[in-house]
Amino acid sequence: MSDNQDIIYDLQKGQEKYDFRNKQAAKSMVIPGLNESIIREISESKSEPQWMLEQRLNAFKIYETWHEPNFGVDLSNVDLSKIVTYIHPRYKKATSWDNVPPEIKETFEKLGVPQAERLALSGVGAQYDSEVVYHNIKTELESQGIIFLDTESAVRKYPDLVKKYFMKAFSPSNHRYSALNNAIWSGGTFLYIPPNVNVKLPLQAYFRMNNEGMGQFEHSIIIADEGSRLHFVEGCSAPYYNAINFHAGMVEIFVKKGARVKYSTIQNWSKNTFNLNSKRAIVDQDGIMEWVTGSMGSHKSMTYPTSILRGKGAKNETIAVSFAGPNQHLDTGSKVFMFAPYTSSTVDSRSISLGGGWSFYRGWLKVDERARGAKATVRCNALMLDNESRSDTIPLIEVFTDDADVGHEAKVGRISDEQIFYLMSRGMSEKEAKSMIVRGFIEPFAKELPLEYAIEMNKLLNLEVESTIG
Amino acid sequence: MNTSYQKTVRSGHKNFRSVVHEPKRLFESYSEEEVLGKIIKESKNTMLSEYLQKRFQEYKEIGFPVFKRISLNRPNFKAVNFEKLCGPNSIADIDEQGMELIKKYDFEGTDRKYLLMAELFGNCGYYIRTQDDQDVGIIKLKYGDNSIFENSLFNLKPGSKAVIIRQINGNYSDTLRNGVIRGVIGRNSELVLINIIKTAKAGSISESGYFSLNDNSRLRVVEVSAGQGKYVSNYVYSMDGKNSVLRAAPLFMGAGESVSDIFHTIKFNAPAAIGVLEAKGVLKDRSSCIFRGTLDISKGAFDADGKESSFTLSLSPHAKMQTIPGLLVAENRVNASHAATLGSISEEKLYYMMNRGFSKTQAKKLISIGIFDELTEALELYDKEIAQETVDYVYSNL
Amino acid sequence: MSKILEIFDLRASIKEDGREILKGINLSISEGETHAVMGPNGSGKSTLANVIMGNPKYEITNGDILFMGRSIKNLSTDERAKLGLFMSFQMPEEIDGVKMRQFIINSYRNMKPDDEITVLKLSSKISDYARDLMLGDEFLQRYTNFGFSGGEKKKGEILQMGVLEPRLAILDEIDSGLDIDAMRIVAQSITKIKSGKTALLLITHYQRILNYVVPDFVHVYIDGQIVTTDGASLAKEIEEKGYNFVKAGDVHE
Repeated sequence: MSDNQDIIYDLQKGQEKYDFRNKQAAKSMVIPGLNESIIREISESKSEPQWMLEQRLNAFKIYETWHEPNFGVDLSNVDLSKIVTYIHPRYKKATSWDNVPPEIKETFEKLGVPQAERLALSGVGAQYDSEVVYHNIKTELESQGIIFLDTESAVRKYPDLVKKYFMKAFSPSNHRYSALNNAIWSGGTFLYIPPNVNVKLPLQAYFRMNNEGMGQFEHSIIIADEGSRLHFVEGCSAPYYNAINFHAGMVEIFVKKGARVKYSTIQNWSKNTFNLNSKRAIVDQDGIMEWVTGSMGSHKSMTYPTSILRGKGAKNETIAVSFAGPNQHLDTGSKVFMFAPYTSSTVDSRSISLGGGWSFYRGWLKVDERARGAKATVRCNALMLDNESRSDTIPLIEVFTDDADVGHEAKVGRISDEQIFYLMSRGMSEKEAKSMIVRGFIEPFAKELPLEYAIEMNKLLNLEVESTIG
Repeated sequence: MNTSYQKTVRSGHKNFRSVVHEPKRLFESYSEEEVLGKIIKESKNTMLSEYLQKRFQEYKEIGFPVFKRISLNRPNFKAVNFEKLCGPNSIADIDEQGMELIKKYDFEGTDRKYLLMAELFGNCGYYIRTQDDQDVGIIKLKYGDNSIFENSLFNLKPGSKAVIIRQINGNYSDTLRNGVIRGVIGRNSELVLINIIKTAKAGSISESGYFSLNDNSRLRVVEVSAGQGKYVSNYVYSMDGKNSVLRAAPLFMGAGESVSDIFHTIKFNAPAAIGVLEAKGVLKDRSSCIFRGTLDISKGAFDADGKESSFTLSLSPHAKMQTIPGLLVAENRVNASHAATLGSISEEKLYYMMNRGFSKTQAKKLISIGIFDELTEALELYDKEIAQETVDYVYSNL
Repeated sequence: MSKILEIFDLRASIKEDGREILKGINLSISEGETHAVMGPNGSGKSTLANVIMGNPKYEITNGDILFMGRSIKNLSTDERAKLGLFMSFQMPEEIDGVKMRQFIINSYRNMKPDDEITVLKLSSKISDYARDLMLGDEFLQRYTNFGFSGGEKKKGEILQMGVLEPRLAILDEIDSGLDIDAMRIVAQSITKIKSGKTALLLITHYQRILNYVVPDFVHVYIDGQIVTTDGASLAKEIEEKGYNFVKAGDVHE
């Protein structure tokens, strides 16, 4: 793990210098009622080993004194007051279907989401039992030696394995919200794929959906051992609704030598949510990491799937789509750090903004001195559907070696009148024409998803585009 | 605190705000009040003096910025000779019209502290103004060894033309050379601005610039910054007039331990403006450069045509290239793109050159020289001597 | 025979600058007929096609267009398409990310919402047409018009026309950019669709295509007006003598 720590330390070095300078800001985003004893209670209720409790407490201390991120969305309106109530181990879910906003219910209706799932997606479901669906898959996976369960159970059943990887891609001092997640995390997926196992069926977090619905502070860990292959899908395009509107989840992925992991996310948190997401993959020699990320929901989001290519020949492929509609500020992007020779990366980011939404691509590509022979390209494409929205692209590209090939390009465009006329001459209304073009625009993303997700997402996009374009 | 000046970076959209990084600041005093007192005493221009007094109030409240990547020398206020200001066309003789423009175009520059500082202590600045439809030809601005703080204003009246060449090549190893220039490019007028900036080892230079382009005006900026010192610049081109055209080509060359932070922003505020920003550079030894090029298109600036590109070559394994191409768009009827290439020569070019016996390293070196050939061609149009001098300087560093 | 398209004294201008392009067009096409409109380049022939289809770039300042006896001048483009009007574009737009096959299936559903043909059957119908045009299945897998050569784009338009079976197909310069073999194949498809009762309006500069798709009527269009109308032989005359001879001549009834 020393290798790992070196890389983390390297990344920290840059941050430490200015991390401590502005502690005053920390006070403005304090979670009322959150203290050490609550954290102890949480840890105890989950029957966690001592090392996990210590980690939580240490992270909490860091969270309390750390400053807010010095970039990104404005978080001053976040309501943190209910958080303690919800994360408290004695809390009993009290959300009722009546409290679910009508727009959410309408979207479920239009997408044809089955009743039981609607309840689960809105945090109401005590009735949805994914166990049945999950059970058969589980047996098949177990026979291959795959470990697939929720993170809390993993901590209890496989403590040594979890300890080896928990908070090894991130450190609590990376940023304030990695510290927060480390302190109060709950739920998430733990997945271990043994060497040379090729998991043919895309595994989904959906399979494990339980009474708690989608957690706000999930912590997931995926380990793909040497030569293995996996596609994991998180989220769904139907909207998730939960009474707490602040999410700070974390995903740590370890792609070992020659392994290949594809991690797909479609995020459609309800439109009042603040979503701060931390996702990082550590990729070893000849490993391949593919990030497939679709951000459609939330009021404000910050998410930058990151790959740290530390093994020779490691590869990253990112395809990301973000859709900022009315009243949405989505600050998303990608971070790729290349630390070893012959590493390579391609990033394809597409963003759509309409109805006053603000889409912001923030990227960071760093090619270290050690990454000789590295190749990287980033392409950003923005589609602005009207004049009320904004689309911004600000990538940082750093190359610290003279033997690398790095290119970046970005452009901004709109749907031309000629395109619309052409489609209308084939019987499509103006709205339908625009929807089709938008779907075509994100097709490279959609085709990476399992079919049912792609279909649902297309349906959802149609709804979004057609309802916003007058 | 005054927040009414033009910020370089946009930070909001409708009722959304974004978080913008603010550097840490150090409050240090260098008896500026005393020095300013002397300047005001010497000055025969009451308009200017009053303005300076006001500016000083703001200056006092701001500390020296601590930048992430570059640490600049502190200016040596005591050593500056404020009695003899450069003339003719000295900023000390600024008139009412000029003052209006300086007040109107208030901006951030490399940092608000440096901008205010250059205005307050400007011991050499030029106020160049043309008449309507006048072609003033080529103006070479001279700067003495003592020229540390420059506050210059170029006011091109409608229909006029000018070529201004600035050569900044002092030692500055124990001080900060701090310049602020404003250019108002009137309707149908044309300005060519040539900056030749030589950074000496241990020297620090800061350049802040703001240009407002009116209808049908044209501005061409050719800049080369080369050497072993530290250079930070922040130029904002405000396309305020329809059909205005901007072409800016910053070239940089770093050697030794040089550090540069070059930031050019084109703000599209009027319809059908054309803005092209093409940066090219070569880095060797342990030098580093971060080039930031931003196209900022406001709503209403339809038919804007914006193109930004940066091309950087590294000739050594320890040089650090960084770039931030920014594309900020709030108007969808535009043609806007940016591109950045770092490190490499195209496969085709390389293959061709290797076929002619060049190794990859030799090929890179040849191409680096090629980058500056374009500069030479441009310079030769205006002043052959300067062209030769500049090229020699660059090659010697390469 | 019923009238498919009737154009009365049609005048139209470019919305943006008010420039008048169509200066009083009269035209009448009956079921099953093939009409050709020929004229010098740059005279606005394509404008006629675009105005019939309702391109928002133009506005009608006088006259009317009747389709199947009903005025369509106030209908949007998609409404006109759904009535059975089809235009093959001179420069078809690229729709990135949307596969050709899917695009055509979509269009079919738009034009014939009551038709209950299954996706499978429709898909195989599309493949059949494609084959007639010497286009393989990979053609249908490509993104609509994206990266297509000139010839492929034209074939793509004819493919769509063949599957959609419109009442009136307006072919705007369908033969430009086609080599001899491609033109023969395209002409075959056009002839096939003609026999299925589709009326045709061919807009063309050259006479070539009219050797294969013989028109019932040839109209000569110069400077915004139709100056003369005659049978197929007129096309040959133009080929031999150019458009100038027509300019000087009388209008034939």
